Amino acid sequence: MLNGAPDIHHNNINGNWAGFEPNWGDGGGICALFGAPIIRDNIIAGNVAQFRGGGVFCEHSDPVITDNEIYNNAAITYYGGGIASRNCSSVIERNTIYNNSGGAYGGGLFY
Amino acid sequence: MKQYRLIWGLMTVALTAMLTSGLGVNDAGATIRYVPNPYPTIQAGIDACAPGDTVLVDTGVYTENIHFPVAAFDITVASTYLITGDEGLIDLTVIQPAMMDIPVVSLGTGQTRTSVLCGFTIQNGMGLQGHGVACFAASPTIEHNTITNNCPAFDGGGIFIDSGDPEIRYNNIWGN
Repeated sequence: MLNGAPDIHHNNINGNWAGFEPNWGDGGGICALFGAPIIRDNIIAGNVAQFRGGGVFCEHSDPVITDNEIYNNAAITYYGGGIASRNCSSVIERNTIYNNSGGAYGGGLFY
Repeated sequence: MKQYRLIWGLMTVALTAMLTSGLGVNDAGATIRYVPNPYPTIQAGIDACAPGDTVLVDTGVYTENIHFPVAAFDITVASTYLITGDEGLIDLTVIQPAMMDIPVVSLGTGQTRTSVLCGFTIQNGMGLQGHGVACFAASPTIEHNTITNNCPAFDGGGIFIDSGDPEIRYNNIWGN
């Protein structure tokens, strides 16, 4: 996602992968750049990013991430297995986040 | 009594005409355009739409890249899941690309939340912009779809959004 403010809710987002190209590997489940997405009431599971944010990756954006179940996601090389929020004004609340892994740090959440 | 018979007769004629022509009219006066008969492709149905129309797609595998053009705003493109609520119909109504390097389904400027994509399996996008669904300055409603096995070269395997505010709900987005 590049810009925009989508309302993403009640989806099952699982088993997705980011990282086919050498310089693209963030946000296996959802990748949000320069926007203000609302991400609520989703199941985000089993997604993998080569670099950052296995489940959700946000950068330079204002996401609202609430009431999701985020588990079994992985960021292989860097950080934020469940969620990576970088240079953002994020609202992250009431999520269930478990069993995620980061290659360097921030298995569940990198903020 | 004669009046009732006349009304019923007219309704029967209208229904017969709808079924034989492949067109229908809903309560709001918009047209329902049936695929694959008389419109052989989903895109042909979309291209025939006026604002407010519905393209209703029967089960099958449709090998085409479809696009919601600027002129066709506020339209609904849906499988028969829209009518029955039978989730099995989502698996049986498949859109897969005829061309690689472009999205399987794309929506352009002018689409609002009243433009709806509902009830399809959208699969096998590949190549440069081989997203499953791509919104370019578009804000449609994308609901009750399975979006799977789409592998573009860059970000946004399942759904890619550039500068839109779509509502994305009740989809199964997996294996992209």
